[in-house]
Amino acid sequence: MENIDPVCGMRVKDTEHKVLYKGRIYYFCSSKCKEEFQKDPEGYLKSGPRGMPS
Amino acid sequence: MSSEKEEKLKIVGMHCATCVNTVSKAIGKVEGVKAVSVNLATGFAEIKGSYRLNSIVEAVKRAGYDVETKDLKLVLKANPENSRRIMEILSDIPGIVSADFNPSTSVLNLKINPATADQKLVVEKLRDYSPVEVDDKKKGETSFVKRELNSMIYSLVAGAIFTSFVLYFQYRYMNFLAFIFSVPVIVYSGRRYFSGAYRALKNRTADMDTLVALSAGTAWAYSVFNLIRGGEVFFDAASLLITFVLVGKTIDSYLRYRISYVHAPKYTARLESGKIVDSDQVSVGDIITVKSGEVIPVDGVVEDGSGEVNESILTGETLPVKKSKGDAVISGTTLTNGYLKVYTTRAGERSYVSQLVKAINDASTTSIGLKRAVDRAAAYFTPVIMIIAAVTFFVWHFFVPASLALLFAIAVLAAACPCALGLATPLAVLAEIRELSKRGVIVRHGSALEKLKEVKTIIFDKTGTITTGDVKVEPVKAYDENGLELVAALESLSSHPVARAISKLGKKRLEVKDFNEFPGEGVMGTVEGHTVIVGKREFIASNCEDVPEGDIIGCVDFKPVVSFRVRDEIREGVKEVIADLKKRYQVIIATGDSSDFADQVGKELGVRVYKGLTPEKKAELVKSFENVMFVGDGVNDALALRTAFVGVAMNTGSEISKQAGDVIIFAPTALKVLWEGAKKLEKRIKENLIWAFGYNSFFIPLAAGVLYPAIYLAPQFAALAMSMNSVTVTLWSFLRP
Repeated sequence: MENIDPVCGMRVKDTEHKVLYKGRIYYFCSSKCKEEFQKDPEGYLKSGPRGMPS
Repeated sequence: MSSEKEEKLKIVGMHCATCVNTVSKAIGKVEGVKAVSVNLATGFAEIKGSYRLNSIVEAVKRAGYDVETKDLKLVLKANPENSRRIMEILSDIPGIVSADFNPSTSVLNLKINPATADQKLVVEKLRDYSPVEVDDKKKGETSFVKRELNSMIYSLVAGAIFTSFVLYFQYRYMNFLAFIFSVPVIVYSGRRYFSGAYRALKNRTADMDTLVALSAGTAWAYSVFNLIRGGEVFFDAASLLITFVLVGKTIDSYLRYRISYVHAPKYTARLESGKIVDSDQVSVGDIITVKSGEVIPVDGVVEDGSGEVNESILTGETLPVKKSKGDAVISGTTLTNGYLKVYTTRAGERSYVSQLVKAINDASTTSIGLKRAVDRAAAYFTPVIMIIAAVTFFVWHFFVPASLALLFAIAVLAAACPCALGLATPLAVLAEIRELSKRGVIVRHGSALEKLKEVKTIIFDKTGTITTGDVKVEPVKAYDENGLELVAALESLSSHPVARAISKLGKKRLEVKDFNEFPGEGVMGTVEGHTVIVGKREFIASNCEDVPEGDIIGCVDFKPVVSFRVRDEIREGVKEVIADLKKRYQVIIATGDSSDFADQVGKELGVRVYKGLTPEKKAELVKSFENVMFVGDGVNDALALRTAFVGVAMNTGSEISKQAGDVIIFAPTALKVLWEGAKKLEKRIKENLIWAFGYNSFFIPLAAGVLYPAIYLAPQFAALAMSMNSVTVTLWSFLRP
């Protein structure tokens, strides 16, 4: 199954980098994107991907 | 270091551009890498430069990814002193990630890059140098070694018979008949040394075979020359020399064949019906009975009865442990008193004891720094001996008849024993690994024992490592009975100790769908149509409303229904071990647990605690210190174990963590045993080396005739001393207290 990384916008498969937020599973391309998301989940879900965190 | 090359490696675990950056950066930092390009679509990394492939693989692993490699096991016949030469040949073959040759078992373990190398290529390259056989599981690991031993025994028997004729005729001055009977000794019994010497010559090296061939060959050729010319002959010395070398080498091969391989013990099991079968015939679910004094043949759970079991094979602890209904028992342990009915959970090849034997036999023993230095010395040893022999002849021929001067030179060649040097380290490591296994410590990589000296920081996992992992959970206050059942059902699918404890609170067996685990955080799934989430406070806070008090909280349909406090006990003896380790190392606890209990444990042990860590964070913590030993047990520790300088996995932990560890122990208290073992190993290696050097520096001058005429060492007795020296090194390694 393909998913969209809510931080960088990349297509990702079911990976180990995942977060359960409000009952939904979000998949990430890396631990970096995952950590970014956890800092501000609402922001990313509202405004969409902002690109790869530096 | 190898010459300029280009390798293609398949990287595992990359799924995005960040990964590509991380992997490229990690590879780029490796010494000797000139250019690297990583392709996300194909997963391949192409690397140019003159680097060690193993360093690349290590770098990728440290970065949190893996490289596809293939393990290859070959059996090859090579003299111990040639280990270095074999490594050189291997380093020229593209695609070899790491090689580990153990001369005491003749086993070569290889890790290859399947993208650039395959078994055929490796075997062909090695064949130019030494007879090679691919290890075939069906034929058994020892077939090659055993055939080798048999052929040695034939050579020895033939050598002994014909040599006695040679002696008989020569002492009656029937020189021609002595010559006739010496031919089979040289040609048949001595063929392995002559062909070995030829192979060494072709590779422009010299080894023990060269020395034996040269000494026996010279004595024999000179005798043939004198037979024609009319002069003194030494067919006796030449034949005895070959026979005596074979005596020692045959005993040595036999000892190493017997000692080096640990054979999986065979047990018999008594089924409930009273029928007695081999333990590998028992299937999972069979009930077997064990009487007092018998060895428990399978892994299982006590179904009925009770008794005391000696589990020293597992823990090194000889005090028996009480077992009754519901307790786990392990194959290879002994029931000292009582009577047990055991429900089988694992038998035969899958049983603990078989796995243990496999781990010991597969342990790598030769990647040790000291060994590399000794191998280098061994490579120069033979040429130096040949020079000494030439000098001996040159000096003596001024004082004694040429034939006696020649005998001195031949004796020097025959007395020198380079193989004891080559065997000193691997035999010591093998012996120490065996001994540690008897005390409940399984060493998977011999090099870990050497690295222990350089460890600076020790990081412990908490749950299951510092603590018993026998977690107690208590619901904080009144809860919804039905909700608890749903939560318990979901937790039954996780292997985490806390989850196991919660799952035991459930009474019903409910079906779970869409199970999802978030390591270090919690789990989610559907139970009877309800969405159930269980996990740590922070995890629940981002998913459910109104989070109550407690360490672990369970929600049904996004509403908390039950919360738990988690309590765990510190393992016995851990406090003392940590207090002791703190004197020499920086000790840290790293745990996924974020509850107050983690702080309590840290306070009690006087150790700094990093809590609430995900598996990645644990690995990062390991990376942030120098030379870290990480001790852990869970799936969530595997990454940290792999990243650490030395990874120590708990025997009670998950299979994944055991695969990632260099060493497997039963409890943190066994760390003491591990350090003792490392110290003892250092002593053993030193002793073996001193013996090997001492032997050579005693016998070579003696053979060269420095004490002549008071003491004269004939070539054949020099050869006997030489071959018995390998036997001594082997025996000493294994039999010393």
